Amino acid sequence: MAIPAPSAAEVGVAPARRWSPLPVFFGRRRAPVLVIAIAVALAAFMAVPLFYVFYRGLTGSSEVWDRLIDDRLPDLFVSTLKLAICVSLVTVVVGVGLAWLIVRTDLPGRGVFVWLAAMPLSVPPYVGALVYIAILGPNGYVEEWLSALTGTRERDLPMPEYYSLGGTTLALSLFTYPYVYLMASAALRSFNPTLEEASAASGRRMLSTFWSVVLPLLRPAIGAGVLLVALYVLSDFGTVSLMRYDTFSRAIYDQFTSRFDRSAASILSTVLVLITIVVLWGQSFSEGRARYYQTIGGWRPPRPVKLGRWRYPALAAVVTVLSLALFIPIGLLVYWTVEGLTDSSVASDVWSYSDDSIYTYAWNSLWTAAAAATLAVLVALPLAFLAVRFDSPFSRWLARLSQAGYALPGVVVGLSLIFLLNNYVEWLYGSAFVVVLAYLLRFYPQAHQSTTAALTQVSPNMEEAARSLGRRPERAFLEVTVPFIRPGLMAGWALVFLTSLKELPATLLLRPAGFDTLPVRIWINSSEGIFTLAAPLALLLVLCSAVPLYFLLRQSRVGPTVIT
Amino acid sequence: MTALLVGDPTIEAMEERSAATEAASPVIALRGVSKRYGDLLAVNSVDFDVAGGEILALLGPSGCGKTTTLRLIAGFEEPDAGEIWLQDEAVAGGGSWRPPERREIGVVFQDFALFPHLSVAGNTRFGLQNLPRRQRSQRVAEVLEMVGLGGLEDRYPHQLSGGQQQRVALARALAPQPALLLLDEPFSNLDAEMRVDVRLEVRQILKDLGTTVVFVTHDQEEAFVFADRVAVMNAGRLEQVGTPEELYNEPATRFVADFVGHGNFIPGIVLDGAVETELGRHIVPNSASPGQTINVLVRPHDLAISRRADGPLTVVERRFLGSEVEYVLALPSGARLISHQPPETGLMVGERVGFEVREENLRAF
Repeated sequence: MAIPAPSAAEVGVAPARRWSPLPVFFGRRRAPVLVIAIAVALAAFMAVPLFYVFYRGLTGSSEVWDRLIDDRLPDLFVSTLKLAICVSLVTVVVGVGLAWLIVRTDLPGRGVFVWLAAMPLSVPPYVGALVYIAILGPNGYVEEWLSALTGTRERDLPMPEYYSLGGTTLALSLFTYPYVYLMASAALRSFNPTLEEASAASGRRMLSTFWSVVLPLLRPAIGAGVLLVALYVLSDFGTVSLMRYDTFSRAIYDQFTSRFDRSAASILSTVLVLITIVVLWGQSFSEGRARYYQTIGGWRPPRPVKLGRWRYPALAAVVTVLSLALFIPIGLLVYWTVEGLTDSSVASDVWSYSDDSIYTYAWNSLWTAAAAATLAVLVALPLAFLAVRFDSPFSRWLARLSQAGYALPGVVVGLSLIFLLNNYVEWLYGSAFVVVLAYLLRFYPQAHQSTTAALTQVSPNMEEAARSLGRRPERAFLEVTVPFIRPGLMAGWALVFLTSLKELPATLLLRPAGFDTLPVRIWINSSEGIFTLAAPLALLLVLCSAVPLYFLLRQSRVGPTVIT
Repeated sequence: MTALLVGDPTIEAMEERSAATEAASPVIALRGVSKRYGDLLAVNSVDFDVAGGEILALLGPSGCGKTTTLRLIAGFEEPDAGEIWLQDEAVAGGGSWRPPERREIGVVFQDFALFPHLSVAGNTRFGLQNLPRRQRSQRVAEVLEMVGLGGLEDRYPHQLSGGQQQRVALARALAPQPALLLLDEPFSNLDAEMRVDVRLEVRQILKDLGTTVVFVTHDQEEAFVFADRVAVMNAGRLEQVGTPEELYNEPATRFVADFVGHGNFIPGIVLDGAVETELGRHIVPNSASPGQTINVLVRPHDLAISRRADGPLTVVERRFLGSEVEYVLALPSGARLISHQPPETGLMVGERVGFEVREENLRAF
């Protein structure tokens, strides 16, 4: 063959765009058709429960709607919102305070506190709630101790009511503040110290600098953390049930399991999902700015603030928070466990090897969580690949669709799957795989975000370099991209595993008869008030959760990623 | 080659050209290559050839399409129109398509794109999977020795300096003995001091190997030092291809004249056979019709000045550049001109000067 001569006529003629429908959707380059097909199918699958909830809710009978609007919705709305606001406020104060003290000051022991302050995430809030029922509740340790001290009868003591907004706020805040703490401390760590120096050079004192420079710049990160807390409060079922505090999640569960009112349950779910979507919209708004903020990156470690005579009061405050959120709950769980071991009937109940023993529950918890985490990472690969490498409105829309689970509290996922499976795939209902499916749907966004973040850090040049050195696209992806994003994939896996392990409401609704996980058993035992039976299970659950949490924290210290 | 050209009206010109380059047909040839991103025509009907062993620079401001052109050659992008020929075979356009992994083109990226999970040897070996296992290590050692990295085989990219990373990237691209090497702003990630040395070193290596190279830069000096020929691009179009001397002395367009070297542009009116400017009436080749206004290019070295009390120009600024002095001069109209003179000229700011223009070097656009 011979190379044609340059043709003068061609010069300066703008060629027409070749027709093809895909580049329009996928921006600059055409994505492989197979990847598109897989991604579309997966995204659609992930979004089905969300749309089904709306479908059920909006086609619900108008009588039920009217009854709920007159009767339940206003109260639920107010009580849910009150709880979300209270918990958010407390977690901001505790989370930001700890973050600032630990990251930016010369607080003694901050090298250890950096880890410990995040560890309450491994204690599921319902476990915390049960611990504090035993301590602060009626006939609890505090009442017992006070009555022994003062000689008054327990019921005559002027104790504040523990089953209340205040008590529920305490139980939820102590075990969700790490969301704010982690976000705020990551932001503080990447905070450009020059800004503080500039403020000092303008004559501002430390406190004034904190209020007028540091806090405003931290606001996006704090906002992101608070919205995670708020999302958790909206989806929480275990804590509010144990605390007998009415929120949407608890009401939905009640309507469905005690009153068998599917219609009302669907309608309440629809309203709850709508509230969640509003909150999420707020999150995506603040997240966009948080990302911008983190790019400022400090190139020089900031000089720690000298606390001076505030050193020990600050230390006392940090130790108090950690005692309430970590040492006391774990200590009490250990105490009950040991106590149970000495009681032979309890010990045989818990430790004997049978279908109703701790081993079976632990195994059920571990394998379902691991299966969900593995599936989530596998699903995330094509979707994240498409979103990062072929960024376009369509691929972004697809990514958003696949993360529908974010808007679905556990109770709603459970309910939606029950309806869907009963109506369309009955043979699947009642298998443990449904539990795995629920975890996948609900927690997939965490895997998606970790994978996307990791892929964004791989320069496309890296894949192109591999191709110019003779690798086909799929080989380039496997040999170069996957090793590079492995830490990100592992982080996504660990996150989904951690949250699945602690999941309660969807598991309660969907588990096959006799299929108990650790959270399910803890919840059943503690709603019956048998703490010695619940304690060893809770302790094991906390230990199992601490491992992936520790891994995640180590990772987040290396890179700028924050676990959410 | 001539057989295909029968019927072409420019056949005579083509035969002359093909006689000149008969010995070697080009390693890479672009024919009317265009690439569009949405409404933006990033590359617009580009034609050029690169002969074996030649180093061609694609020079232009950012966004001119030079990197896209490089990516089209590598196969990372598909052209919307036109053809790309690699060693007498069409690899893109006209219904043919060869993916990057089958083009045997080496690429050195601007950010080097070294694989962080592989050692220096691992990176260098990456492209040698078609070589028998035993020869791979030998080839790796050979290439690393050549780029001066012998002894660093087991280091990882993050343990290397910028200059060393650059050489690993070069070694990795050269190891499979590619037919063509592409360099995308290869020196922009290096310190200014280091850049000059590395540039010469790399050029020496490539010339010793006789590698055919296309490289992208926005730095005119770099293009002139490194390349045998330079292709100047602007807004997706190829403005001119030529040796550095050709571009400097015979710029084809105003853009090239402006982008390549310093230049003063003086407006002038075309008269019969000459151009009337503020610097006098000069004979300048041009294609404008009488009465039209055109711009005359005066290079700083072509404007000689000397102290003269009644001279028409005033020295406004004086910058000492080491081997010469740059004077900024004001014309009576207020327009500014730049002139480069030997240091002993010794003029001071505020002095009036006379001038002399080297007419044979003037160009008009």
